[in-house]
Amino acid sequence: MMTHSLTLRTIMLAALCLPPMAASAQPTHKTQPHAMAGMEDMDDMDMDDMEETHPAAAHPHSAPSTSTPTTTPTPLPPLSPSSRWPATPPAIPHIRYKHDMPPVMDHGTYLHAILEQFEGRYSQGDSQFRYSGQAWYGTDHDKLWLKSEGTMNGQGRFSDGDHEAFYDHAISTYFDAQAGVRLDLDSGPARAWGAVGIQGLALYFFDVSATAYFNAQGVAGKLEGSYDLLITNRLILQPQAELNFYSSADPARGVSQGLSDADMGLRLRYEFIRNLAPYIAVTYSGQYGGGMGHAGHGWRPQTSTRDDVRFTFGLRAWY
Amino acid sequence: MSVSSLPTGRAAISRRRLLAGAGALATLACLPPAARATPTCLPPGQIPPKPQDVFDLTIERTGVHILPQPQHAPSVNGQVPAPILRWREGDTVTLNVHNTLDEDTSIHWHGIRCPADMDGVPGLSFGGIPPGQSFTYRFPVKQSGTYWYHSHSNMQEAMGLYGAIIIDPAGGETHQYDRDYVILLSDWSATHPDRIVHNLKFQDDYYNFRQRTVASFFKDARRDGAMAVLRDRLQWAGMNMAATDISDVTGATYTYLMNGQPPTANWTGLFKPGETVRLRFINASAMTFYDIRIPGLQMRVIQSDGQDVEPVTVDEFRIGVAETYDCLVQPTANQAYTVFAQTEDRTGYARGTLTPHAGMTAPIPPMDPRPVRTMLDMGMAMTHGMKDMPGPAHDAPPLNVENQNVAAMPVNRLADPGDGLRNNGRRVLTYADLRATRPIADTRSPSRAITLHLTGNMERYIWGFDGKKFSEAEPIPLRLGERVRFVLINDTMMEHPIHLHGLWSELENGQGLYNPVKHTIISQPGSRLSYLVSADTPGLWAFHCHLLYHMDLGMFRTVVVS
Ligand SMILES: [Cu+2]
Repeated sequence: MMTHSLTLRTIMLAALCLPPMAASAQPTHKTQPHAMAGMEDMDDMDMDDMEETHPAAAHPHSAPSTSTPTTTPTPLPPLSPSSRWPATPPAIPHIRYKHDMPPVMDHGTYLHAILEQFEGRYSQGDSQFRYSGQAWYGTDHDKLWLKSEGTMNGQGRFSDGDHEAFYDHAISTYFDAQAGVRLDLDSGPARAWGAVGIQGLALYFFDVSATAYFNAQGVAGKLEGSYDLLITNRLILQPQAELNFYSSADPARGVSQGLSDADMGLRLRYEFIRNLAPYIAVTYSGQYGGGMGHAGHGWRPQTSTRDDVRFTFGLRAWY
Repeated sequence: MSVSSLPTGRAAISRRRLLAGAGALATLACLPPAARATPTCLPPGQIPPKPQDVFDLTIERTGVHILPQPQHAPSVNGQVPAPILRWREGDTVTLNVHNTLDEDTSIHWHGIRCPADMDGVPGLSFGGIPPGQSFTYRFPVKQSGTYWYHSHSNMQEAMGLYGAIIIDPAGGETHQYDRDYVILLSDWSATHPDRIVHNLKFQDDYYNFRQRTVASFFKDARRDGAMAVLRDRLQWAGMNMAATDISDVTGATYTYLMNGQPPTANWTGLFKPGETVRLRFINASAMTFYDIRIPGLQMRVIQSDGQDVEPVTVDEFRIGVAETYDCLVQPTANQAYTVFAQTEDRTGYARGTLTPHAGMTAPIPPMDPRPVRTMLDMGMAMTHGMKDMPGPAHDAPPLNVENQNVAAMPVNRLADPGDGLRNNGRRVLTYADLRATRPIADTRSPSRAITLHLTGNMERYIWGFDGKKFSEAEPIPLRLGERVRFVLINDTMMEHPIHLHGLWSELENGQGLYNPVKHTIISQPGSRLSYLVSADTPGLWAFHCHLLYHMDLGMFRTVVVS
């Protein structure tokens, strides 16, 4: 607190001593060096986990009020209308760059891809492999966006194969709108959907996406969210959840009406390097309601909710 | 890092470290002088004994050994940094630049007032220098002081294509000194600049390993109380901003160089006790601000951006990217002194030694605590009890894909030494201290103001002005001969060194007719400042943030004087 109050007050005082365009101002107003008030310990210089030294330290709301409001924008000296030139800006000329070469190329295209989940899920006598990833290519505003996820059981049966292709357009500071198609392609019967959704960063740094799907059989929805909780700067705990909703059951695919299935994970990863991090996790997948389940050996009717909690380890990688 | 083979049969230059006792000296193998006017190869930081007016500069890919792993960098006459060019005010200089790279190149003379077609920004009144071709720059030198030059093509500047320019004043030097050194600071990475941009586009805090964490929460909570710490963190998270956002690219990838030498190599300048030494500091970094001090010595600042200022005696000063400061120091004791340039984010430092005897060194001071951003940096420095707080100005940019924040209360920070430098017990230079030694030439009032908001979306890593990047914005037109005021409002939470090519920027810091004249002006976060510009040279000029990745991702405008 001490540090901050002093800091702010120094600035206010300094601002006071600085009338703009005071034509014959003395060379300088010299701020008295203060003692190192509150400037405590040095940073731990280990690049691995350098944490800040003065945190919270408070924001100006906790600063003491002063009688003079000095943090207003300093008024600028007046412009002279009598000057030789009119105060109106000139027309914006059309300019031709030499060899049509703009001086900076800020409309570049970027290719990125991430495998968020690439993992083995284990319980007694049974193992699954699951992956989930995305890739995108394009500019700051427009991208082609691909998403794919799926689960393979110990017998090599591929289920929950959900593959999407979107045109992605940035619509706000943190959010993109997406429109495209989804194909359910795996060992079960195939389905195709039209898709629209939004994806982005909610306040408080939550990664979220919400997508609606439609085809002749009905509509469906998918909600996804995750959050990176930094234990240290390299050890990161990530809770993640995906929920799927359907307007009508599709027994052939083990889909029931309403909330049909959920997939959640609590992953603890270690970023040896930023774009390659192994993790351990506890994962949960649930099938709700009736329909066909794909647990165990092949497809079979399922009469009730099935919850599946597993110990998991995997690798997160991005390009 | 792309490592292509050397384009010519010339020997790769090797930068070996000769560790000699406690000190270390780096040597630079020199290429044989190829042409008549090739600058001679001198030890780093040594200024050529005489000015020249004709230069042959060959740009080529050269092997360098700054890091343990060898790298290739674009160089000038085989040197990284490029050779120091010494000119004389009043001469007409001729610079023949030959491009042996496999891509276009260019040289921009930073801070030099010259015709627009000699300024060297490809696209603007100049076509660039294609591979295998040459271009001759020729212009009269109408100024004196310390400047620098660098490529304005692709990422060549970030990879090592930069060097110092020293111009002798026609009327002789104002100050007496016995020795004269260039101290050119830069940042060096084994990662290719394109890859750095790629990483930042994916994850803006890719290089920040000092974020607030659960572990630091408990440490902070013990000191400040859990509720206060929690409230502060929630406030930052609620804006999707990080108080730890100091530098986009950090010591996690950068090695910080002084005259091309890493801290371990320890660049050394010699003096005799009692002598006056002139140090010409140039920040040729791509992305790094430095805080410079020489423990045990006071520095008398005599020039800023090549222009004489009334001497100010300080213990420390901050140098933004592309700025220059000249200082005089008078070491009287028979001892060594460390020239210490810690980065603003305190993830590293450049370092060298002034010493009466080669090999003698002084202790390297510990780095200061790194700064943490506050609401002042968000442009929200409100005081209690203010009745009519003005909201954001009516010309405030929108919050959009390219803009993350609008400073509600931008303040004058010219007398503020900057984040990380307040109340540190040292006398630190501020912009308010700078006072020119001669009155400005153009005493007309400006007839209009051009207000520009510095904006960006850190999350998407997009930068610009007024919520637009370069490719989406109109040029800024000026009438030839008019005098205008540029007003910069910084809506971002980072410092931006704003550089206007071809024209002077007279910073309105309260010194009136003696306002300092600069080519690069640091805009502090959440601040508002202004400077006057006389549009006295026609042409297309670049106006941009000199943080290279900010410029390249949109913080750029074309200024048209016609
Ligand atoms: Cu910038």
